[in-house]
Amino acid sequence: MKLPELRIGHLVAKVPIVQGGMAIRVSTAPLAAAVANQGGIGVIAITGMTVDEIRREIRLARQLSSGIIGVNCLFAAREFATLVKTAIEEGIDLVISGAGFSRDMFQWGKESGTPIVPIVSSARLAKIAKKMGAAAVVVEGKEAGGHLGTDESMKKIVPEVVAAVDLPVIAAGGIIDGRDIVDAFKLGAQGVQMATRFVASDESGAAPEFKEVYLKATHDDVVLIDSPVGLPGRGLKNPFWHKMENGEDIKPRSCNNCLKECTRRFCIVEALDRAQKGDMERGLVFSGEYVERIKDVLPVKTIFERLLQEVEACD
Amino acid sequence: MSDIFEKVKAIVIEQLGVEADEVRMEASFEDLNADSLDIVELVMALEEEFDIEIPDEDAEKIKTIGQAVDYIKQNK
Repeated sequence: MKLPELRIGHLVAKVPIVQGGMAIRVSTAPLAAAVANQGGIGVIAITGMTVDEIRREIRLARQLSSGIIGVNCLFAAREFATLVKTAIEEGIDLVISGAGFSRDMFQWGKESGTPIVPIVSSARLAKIAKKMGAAAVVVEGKEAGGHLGTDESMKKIVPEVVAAVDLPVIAAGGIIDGRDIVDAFKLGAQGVQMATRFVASDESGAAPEFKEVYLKATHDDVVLIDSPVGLPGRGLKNPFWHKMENGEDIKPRSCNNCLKECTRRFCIVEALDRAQKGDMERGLVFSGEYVERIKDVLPVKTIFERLLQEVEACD
Repeated sequence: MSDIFEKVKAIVIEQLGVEADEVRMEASFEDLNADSLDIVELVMALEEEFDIEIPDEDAEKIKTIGQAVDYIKQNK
């Protein structure tokens, strides 16, 4: 099979692969730029960043690539509006957002000509997104890593969304290789979003220890946790997870109210930040369901070459 | 009871499929078993009915029927 281009508003990605946003600081400028340089859409995860950091990251990505660069921001973040507006001011190409549904962002997109792409997990929300003016939707199933909006498979939801709305549908959750991409296109998707595969890339912001955990992970290591955001999150068993499971006190020592609502069971930003920096004891490692299929840490260029070869080999 | 309340009540009954006597000023959307998508749809229906715009930040603070009615009164 030969993959078509992906059109989102005025943007045309030569390769219909969107790199999923991964906070905190796993997908920053180097990864996003590397993906954009391969003709895909690179995404900087801006949740948990300061305004200055967002500006720096976007400018750095622009120096490294002339391709398409977007940002991803968690709607549950208290500073959501400030973070997204900053990215728009910096001239970001598109905005992707999930973990809740912002209606305001569509207005910001309209005013600035920035395509807005919400992450949805149902045909119902896809219809609302269409009505609000979405340029495309990312349809994320339960196979995805990080915060989840559904317990249903991407393979079930994608055809439902394709039937419900006339918008480019980008399938996300559990896509690791070229065969998975072809399968998603056969369900009617016009693009795919992949994150877990790109954690294990040379350019990702994850510490070497983080990538090592990915390579060693088995199917039994993949678990669902109760994120303080109020959503389930998919990640990997590790000492931090065991503490959670055993009901140990992992409450944050300090808090800056970074989320609109938070159960304060533990600090999600701190836990993700620790993992990104390589603290595999006390960090929370988010991961997609099929991480076990990733066997090597590769340059983004090689990941793209392999994916496209695999796609080509499929009918 | 105000006209606004009656209109809100009609929208809530239609959107959430609840009984009329459940829709009281003090009832929260949670009490009425509304999930996050129900609330987005409800807010959009209220915007349309009353020709107002309810930004995310304000929508997040509206937890009860009474708060919705008060918000509409103040912003219409």
